[in-house]
Amino acid sequence: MTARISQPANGAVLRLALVYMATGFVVFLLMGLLGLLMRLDHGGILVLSADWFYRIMTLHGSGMVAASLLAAMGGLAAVLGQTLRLSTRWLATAFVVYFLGAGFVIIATLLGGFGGGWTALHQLPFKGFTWGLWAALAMLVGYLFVAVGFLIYCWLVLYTTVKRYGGLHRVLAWRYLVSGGRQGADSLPGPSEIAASVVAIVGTVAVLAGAAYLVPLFGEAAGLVGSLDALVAKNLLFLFGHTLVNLNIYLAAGLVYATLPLYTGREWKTTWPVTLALNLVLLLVLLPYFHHLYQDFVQALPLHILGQIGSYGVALPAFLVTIFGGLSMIYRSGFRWSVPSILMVAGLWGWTFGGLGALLDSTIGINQVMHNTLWVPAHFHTYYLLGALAFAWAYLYHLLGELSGASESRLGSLAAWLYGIGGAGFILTFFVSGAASVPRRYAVHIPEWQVYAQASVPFVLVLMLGIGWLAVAMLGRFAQAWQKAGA
Amino acid sequence: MDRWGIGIALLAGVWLYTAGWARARQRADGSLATRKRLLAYVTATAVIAIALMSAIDTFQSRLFSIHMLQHMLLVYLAAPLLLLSRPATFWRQGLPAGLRTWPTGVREWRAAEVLSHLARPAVALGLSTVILWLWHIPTAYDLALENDVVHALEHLTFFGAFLLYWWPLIGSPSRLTTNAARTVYLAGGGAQSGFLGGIITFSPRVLYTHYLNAPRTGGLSALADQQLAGVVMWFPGVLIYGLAAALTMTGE
Ligand code: HEM
Repeated sequence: MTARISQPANGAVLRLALVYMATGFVVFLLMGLLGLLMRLDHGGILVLSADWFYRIMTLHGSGMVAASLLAAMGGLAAVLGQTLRLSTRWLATAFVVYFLGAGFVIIATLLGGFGGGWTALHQLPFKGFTWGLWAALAMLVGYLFVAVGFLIYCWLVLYTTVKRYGGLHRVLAWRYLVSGGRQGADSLPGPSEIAASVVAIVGTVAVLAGAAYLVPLFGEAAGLVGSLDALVAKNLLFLFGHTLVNLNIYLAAGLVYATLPLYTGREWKTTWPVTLALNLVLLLVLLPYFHHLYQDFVQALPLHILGQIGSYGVALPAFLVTIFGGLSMIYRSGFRWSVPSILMVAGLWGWTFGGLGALLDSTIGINQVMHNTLWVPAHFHTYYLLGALAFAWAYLYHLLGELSGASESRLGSLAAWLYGIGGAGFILTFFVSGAASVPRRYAVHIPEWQVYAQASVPFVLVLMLGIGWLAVAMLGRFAQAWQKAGA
Repeated sequence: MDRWGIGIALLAGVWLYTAGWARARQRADGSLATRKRLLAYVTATAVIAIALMSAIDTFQSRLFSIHMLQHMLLVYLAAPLLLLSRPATFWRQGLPAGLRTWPTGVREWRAAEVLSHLARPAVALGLSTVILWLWHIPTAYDLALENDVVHALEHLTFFGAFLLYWWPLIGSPSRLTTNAARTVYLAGGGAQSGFLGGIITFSPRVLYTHYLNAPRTGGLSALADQQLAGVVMWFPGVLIYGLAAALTMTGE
């Protein structure tokens, strides 16, 4: 089955979407190189000073999260632009604010020496011995800008979908849902539109939690308020950080709903299970963050239990609708392996295994052992690298190919295989080291641990080769695609 | 030019602009001579006056952070406001009838063409970046602080460079015709000036010897003052680019 030309989005939206996704890809590439550096350091192959390791780790983590979100935001804008009139004014403004926020983070880490990690618990930002107050503030201001950029995007999406369908209840298909699919079927939004609106609502809550965390911190830095309650601060930080990264996959899922049909020839309809799943996500996605606080004995026990239930609960609708739905679409469809289709399948695989890794670690008993081991980065690297980002790059590659009219060589799809195989090997060593209780966020690994990192390096190199190859292929298509998008 | 000179020049400018604006309005050219433009001009003049004639100017030679604030007011507020007010049009209208042909003469020696080349987005972004960074090289900055003529030149080139930077965005006609182009332009401008602000903030040593030797004011050490200067350039500067995005993007 070959890809059909999809409905084109408004040219101005398409160009902005390309700016979002291309920026996301470039940052991903650069941050990937930093990841390689850290793995070389863990393997004892290259020695970074602890100070530089933590700067690099912080920049890598925050840069990757930001790049991945940005790419998915851009991709989804292009998808939504096919059926909705998105304001390019606010899409562009959101990008500028977001991008400049990322600049703060780069400077705070590389020049200012901030190395507290992409999520630094309260007190640490202002108590670092290797960085000063301005570096901590710059980091937090950078987060604030990124959050505001994301918020503008969320509100733009919500405003547009609500206006188009005449109310939030219609966007979320509540009548259809409550009537068991018997009423309201005539004017249902597409699955990508519902997914985008769910993300926009939850994203708003997450950003507000982030603001509730950041504003008192600024007050504290200015000496205006006393110290924050550390437990409240931790709850707010993870409600913001965990929810934001979790949402990323739902944005990226919106890309799959729009792209997979082009490769299978089967439509991804808004069915009753789809509306149920996405509405459940709306309810449940705010709960799993509690699993980050299992070690905090002062946190009330019911919240720990809620964390476990939420983590299990949110995994189910995603699995049933997107992964099962995606695989059944592919089954016997005459699916042809090309860069976008390989990456989409890798994405379904990564979402499943990343999610399973998360489920295990969100089980209270297991978390007592696995907490803060490399199992944690293993699960979210799977979920991102082979999940959300595989979807995003599949869509970017597809869009550039479609716009530029470039045909795919047989050898071309090797880049996607390299990405998938290198990525899978790399995360496998992360999982194995996590299972062996190797701690996360350690600059220096003792010789007993180094072997895992040494085993991962060849895979990371294969992965980087795949990414580099994809970059060259996409660069070759970019100029023509840009012209065509604006035409 | 001393403060008196600046004051007189600013007042003359306001007088000329207002006269031209009133004349255009009398000819019922209301779409050109809008109240917004008049307000932009008066505000730009007030900002220049605050930057160059108030205590800010008195303390700029003692505190780098105040000097930075002065530059920020000039390039991020006064320059775009001045562009919005379309000064050349109204100054010309404000001149006595016999002198109004003067700009035609200017056009004859192709200044307008030169300007229009300079206001191409890539050139304007490149030039404003180069001028901003060049003046922050310690030797150049120290020289400006020690010598009034060089200092005036520094202010003039900063101001001119940022008039150029804002031109493609808000000048007439706008050179950046799509939101995608405006996005890249603003992101580029914000990134380069933010980066310079970051370098100044996190420099481990005092960059400009002038401030090492200046009398200490406000209990700030020279290094703390420099960090503050960097932050003044960096944090609000980036905010301005973000705001500019919200204000200059159009519905496409
Ligand atoms: C491209 C290949 C990649 C490599 C080689 C890599 C490698 C690493 C390494 C070695 C660490 C440090 C783990 C530790 O000791 O705790 C790390 C942390 C991290 N990585 Fe990656 N990574 C890659 C891709 C990604 C992607 C795609 C994301 C997407 C979001 C990501 C997000 C993060 C985050 C959030 C952290 C945690 C930082 C922190 O603890 O503050 N990485 N990565």
